[in-house]
Amino acid sequence: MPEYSLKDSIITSLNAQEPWPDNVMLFQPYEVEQILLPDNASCLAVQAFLKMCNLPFEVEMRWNAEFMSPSGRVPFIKCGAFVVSELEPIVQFAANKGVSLCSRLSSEEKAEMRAYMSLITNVLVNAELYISWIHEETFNSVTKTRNSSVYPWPLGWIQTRSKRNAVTKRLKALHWHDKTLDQVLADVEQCCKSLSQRLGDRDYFFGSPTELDALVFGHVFTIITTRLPCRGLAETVLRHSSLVSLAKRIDEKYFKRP
Amino acid sequence: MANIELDIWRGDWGLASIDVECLKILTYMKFIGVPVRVRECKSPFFTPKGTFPVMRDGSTVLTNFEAVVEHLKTLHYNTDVHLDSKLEAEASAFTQYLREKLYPAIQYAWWVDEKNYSELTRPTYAKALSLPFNFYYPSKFQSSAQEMVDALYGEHADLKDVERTIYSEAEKCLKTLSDRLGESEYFFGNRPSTFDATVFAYLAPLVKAPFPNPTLSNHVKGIANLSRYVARINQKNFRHVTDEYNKQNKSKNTTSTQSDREAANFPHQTRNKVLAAIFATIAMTGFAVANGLFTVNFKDEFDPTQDYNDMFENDEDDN
Repeated sequence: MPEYSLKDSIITSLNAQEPWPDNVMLFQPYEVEQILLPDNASCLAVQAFLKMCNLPFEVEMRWNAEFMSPSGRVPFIKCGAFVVSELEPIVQFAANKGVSLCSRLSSEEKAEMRAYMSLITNVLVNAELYISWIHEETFNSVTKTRNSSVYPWPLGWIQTRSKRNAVTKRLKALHWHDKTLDQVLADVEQCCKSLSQRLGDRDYFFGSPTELDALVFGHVFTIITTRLPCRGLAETVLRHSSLVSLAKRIDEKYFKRP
Repeated sequence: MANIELDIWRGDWGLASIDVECLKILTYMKFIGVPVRVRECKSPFFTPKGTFPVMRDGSTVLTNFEAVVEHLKTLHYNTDVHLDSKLEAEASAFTQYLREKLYPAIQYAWWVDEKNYSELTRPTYAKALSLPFNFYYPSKFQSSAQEMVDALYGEHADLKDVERTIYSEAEKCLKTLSDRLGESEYFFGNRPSTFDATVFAYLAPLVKAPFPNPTLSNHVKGIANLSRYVARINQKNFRHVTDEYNKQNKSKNTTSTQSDREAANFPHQTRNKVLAAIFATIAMTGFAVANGLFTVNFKDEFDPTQDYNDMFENDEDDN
């Protein structure tokens, strides 16, 4: 696709000259009645990353944010003429503007950071998707109502169905669908153990805040503050106190409302 | 004490197996030196998951790598004792990283890329399977790989776009791995770990297999320390397999002159000659008979009419 390559080249060359504009908007679904656990976690992670970089932005809630996003996933930011979605491309985009949190890390540390970010997107995101969409009780009492709340009657039902099919397909392809809830929670436990071992008793994973801290904050904070019929996920995460205190620290430092 | 059996896909190109999962388990077992009986099987029809590897130990039947590692741990075979908890955490993070970035690219290169699939993957697996199954399994594996790519990168995305994204992510991942490895012998310390088995299994087929569309394998071959790493582990653990393959290859190369080609043609050529000779004989004889060039004369031996005539003539004389 020509426009795709055009976008790439623009981002790498032209875009670097312009500073970060003031009117950047972050689009996400409605936080109170619509948003689901996995989406909420990734939106929070992006917000945390932008706040850590001291980049000004405004949160704009739209019921159809998912369909406005170029990749079909929330959140996305509108920055001047560019629309960038999801954490990793946004990090890349900010780095091209000269704003980076990990510039002082060695290449080995950067490798490690990327690996841990993968650990989260592979384990925690899939576990969140599993619990929201596959776990019957959660799906029936939370996901179904929230996801269809913004649509008129028959459309909500259809949209929920098709989204559930898409999530099922994704989890099947990654061999997560045939896991039981206990296996999923065991994977989450393993993931949290790895993360808290890496964190140790430091304030941040690599001394100062990086996008890994933003990602961990987004997921841990969302998991422990969202009320779900399935308490297993939150309980598993709460057992790792260093991660929880990291999330609280970031919340207080960057999200404290005046 | 351990009586472990392992069923795998057959090997090729100097690899112990053509399949990533089989290679993972085999490499891991080589690292720890557990006695195991390896069988190259030709039909995965009766396996629990419809594919290999399958490890059997008594009544335990296991099909995935993590479970095998856990099982071997209970038998006190473990490669990761030299890792402290921090390194162990790092190893699990890197395992997930490979799983997220490199594995889709490998599946793409093997199964989704049209050219590789029709010229390399399908013939290879057809050779590895026995007769009725080789019509079924390759396309089954292909559609499951296709489904995975669809689920991860959107169903209606342009395949060219997907290919570029997948390969550029894999390239980034390989660079990261190369940074992490540096010049050390293994990823964690100077002894092999579970993670090394994983990396080797992912990379070795990319280095060894002759891909018609070698985008991904060129990325691996272009990174010097990773390709040296693969060669080193292969040399240490699968030397006999590679040697045997090279020997076979060499003997094939030296004799693959005219006599070799004649030998390959041998049964057909004789058969064709014989058939042609028989056909020509029948045709010529038939033509000759039809035109009356020579008649087959049965009368010489026994002609009943003549006897009758004789009898009749005699009767006439008597009258």
